[in-house]
Amino acid sequence: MNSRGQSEIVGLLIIVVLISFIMLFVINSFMSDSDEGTQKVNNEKLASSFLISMLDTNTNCTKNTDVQDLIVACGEWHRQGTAGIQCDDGRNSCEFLNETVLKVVLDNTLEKWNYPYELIITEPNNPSNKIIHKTGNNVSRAQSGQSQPQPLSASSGQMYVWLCLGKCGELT
Amino acid sequence: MQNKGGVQGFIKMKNSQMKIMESIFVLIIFFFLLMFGLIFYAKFSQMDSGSDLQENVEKQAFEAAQRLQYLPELQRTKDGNYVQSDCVDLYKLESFEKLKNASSYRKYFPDTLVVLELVYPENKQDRWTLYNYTSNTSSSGERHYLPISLYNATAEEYYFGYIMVEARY
Repeated sequence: MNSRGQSEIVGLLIIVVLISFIMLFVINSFMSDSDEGTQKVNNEKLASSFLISMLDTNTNCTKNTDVQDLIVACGEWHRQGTAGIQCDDGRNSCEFLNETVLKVVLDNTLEKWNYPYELIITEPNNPSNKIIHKTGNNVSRAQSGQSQPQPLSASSGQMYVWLCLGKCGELT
Repeated sequence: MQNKGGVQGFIKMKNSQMKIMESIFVLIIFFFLLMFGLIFYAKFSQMDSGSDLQENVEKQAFEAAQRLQYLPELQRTKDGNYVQSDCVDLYKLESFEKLKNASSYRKYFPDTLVVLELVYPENKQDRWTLYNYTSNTSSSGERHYLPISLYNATAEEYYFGYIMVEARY
């Protein structure tokens, strides 16, 4: 009887050790998701470089007009109805921005790289009104991403350009 | 009496056989579970080592892109000393392209392909291969993209492009 009791205790110990190993293995595999942190930093850096570089870019709208000028002019046009910048080809700043610059830039970068993204430009002095809102690569199914607000000064107030890589629920 | 003893012996033997069978079954199930666990563990660690390798190569691509971004051979400077972030000088770029695969860069960019692509405006030369070195026959790799401004000092214009760094396995 004594020997049977001992063997049952040994059996129980083996089961406990096995379960402990399994638990350790499962916990270890769940804990090793540090990848997400690196991805977050990469996305933040990418979004910030993207906006800084894009805003400085000279456009073919008129000579010496950069993307930032077009965005500000488009914001003013939405806010005050002023004509803003009239491009050499007859289009206004919003049309040129939407149909040429943003289309070419986004199609050849974030779309091509398969990055889910959300680009939002808000009206001056009215951040809740989006004058431009572009999404791509199935952003609704993407993981939560990083949003990078870039303030721009327009004569009628501050406006913002947001680029979010991934899904940014707080912007929509 | 002898017959009774025989029946008892037979029953006793049957009981022992049953216990041996029980032990054998327990052992079979135990080893089956152990084997299943080991196979599961081996598969999982194989997958894990694959993703570790991918993570390392991704990290290598990211680091190479960071190095490139702060490379004085490419950076655009204003008034000779102020460095503009995320901006590459077009003329420095063209000179750097001629140094392609210079051995002095190998320790900074091992097994790496670096290409700069111009995105906007569309009518300009749109691709420069800045570096392409591989120590083995591998062709696939992990890519990292870095959007940049490209400055043309003659026209005093900024163009939009990106640097693609492909670190190979």
